[in-house]
Amino acid sequence: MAAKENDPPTLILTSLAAGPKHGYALQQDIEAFAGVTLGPGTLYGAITRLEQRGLIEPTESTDERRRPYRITAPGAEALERTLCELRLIVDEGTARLRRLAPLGEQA
Amino acid sequence: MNDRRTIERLLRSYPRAWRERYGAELTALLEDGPLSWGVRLDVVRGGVAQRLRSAGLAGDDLPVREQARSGVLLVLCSWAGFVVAGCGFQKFSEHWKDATPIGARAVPAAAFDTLVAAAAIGTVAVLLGIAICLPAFVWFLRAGGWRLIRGRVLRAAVVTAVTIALTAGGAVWASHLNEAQRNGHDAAYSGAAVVWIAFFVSALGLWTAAAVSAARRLELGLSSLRLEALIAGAVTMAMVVMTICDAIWWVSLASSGARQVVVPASGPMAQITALMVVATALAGTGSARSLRLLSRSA
Repeated sequence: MAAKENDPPTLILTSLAAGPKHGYALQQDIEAFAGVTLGPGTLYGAITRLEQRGLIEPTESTDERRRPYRITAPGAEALERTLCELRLIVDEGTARLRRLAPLGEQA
Repeated sequence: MNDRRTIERLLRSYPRAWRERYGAELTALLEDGPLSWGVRLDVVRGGVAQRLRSAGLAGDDLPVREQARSGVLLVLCSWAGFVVAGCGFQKFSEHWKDATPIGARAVPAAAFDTLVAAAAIGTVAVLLGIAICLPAFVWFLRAGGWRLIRGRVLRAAVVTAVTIALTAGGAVWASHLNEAQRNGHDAAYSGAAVVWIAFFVSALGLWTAAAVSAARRLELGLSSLRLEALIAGAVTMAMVVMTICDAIWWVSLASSGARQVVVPASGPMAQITALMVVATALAGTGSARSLRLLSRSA
């Protein structure tokens, strides 16, 4: 999985890490924590790929139209790998900015 | 609640198998939120993307060999589209030498002859690709595959029979008309020509669809698929050459004084060239994808 903070699969896995959710709840949660609105087509395109790769799975539900999904163990591992990659970029970027600050002050 | 019929129409952009699995959920989601034009566009885009993935033309949902096969079949479909453009080119290039000053014929003649040679090479390559599949096709039929493609083949055969009948009738009719009447000055004949074109394009499309339907089910080894991908690449190259030659021929004629040929045909020639460009671009996408995938696979 590519390390992108606004990648729909990453956003969905992050949302499901807090517990199972159906499509509408996923949309609302992602908008709340990331400020990103995933369109229905984008959301279900990502859900399809994640389910095919076994990173998420549907839970038992009486309402077939609002079926919740949960993150699987491979999904949690994939999310952890992505977050590690993102953390490397964040740490490196932060360190470089700190080194840059004195140069800015000299100028 | 949003308009259910609009939602149903939007969901038709997805493949049937996908709709059966996720259709109810996506419908519920669309019913819960605003159905703005942005949302509609997002759904249609998602549907097209899913169709491409299901067909093996995008993503990695299907095994590598199936994706490569899809790339080759996209080249076949593009070739069918190119044949339509080629027939149009053939029609509008009739008698072009007679309408062109002798001193201005060299460049368009070279482009025209190169185009004809590339068309012949492309046709031979397509036939070679079909020939490679024949043993697998015979095996497929012996294994009961006919019932899987019967409907498509029969539809194509019926439309082809009608097209042949229309061609024969059109030839008899044309023999009673003068050249001007045959070239747009007889409204009834022009209308019949449009109907004939529609049947010809439909027949070509239906045969292509039948071929794709059968080819998707054939048992092809990796070496055969690789060969098909190479042939698809050769067909694409022929299409590239033809598209370039078409443009050179058209532009050189337009600047040579052969205006009585080119100017009345400028609208159709633009459409023909546009169709060639689109078909070539699609073929390039398909052949590049199949060659790339098969070069990676062991």
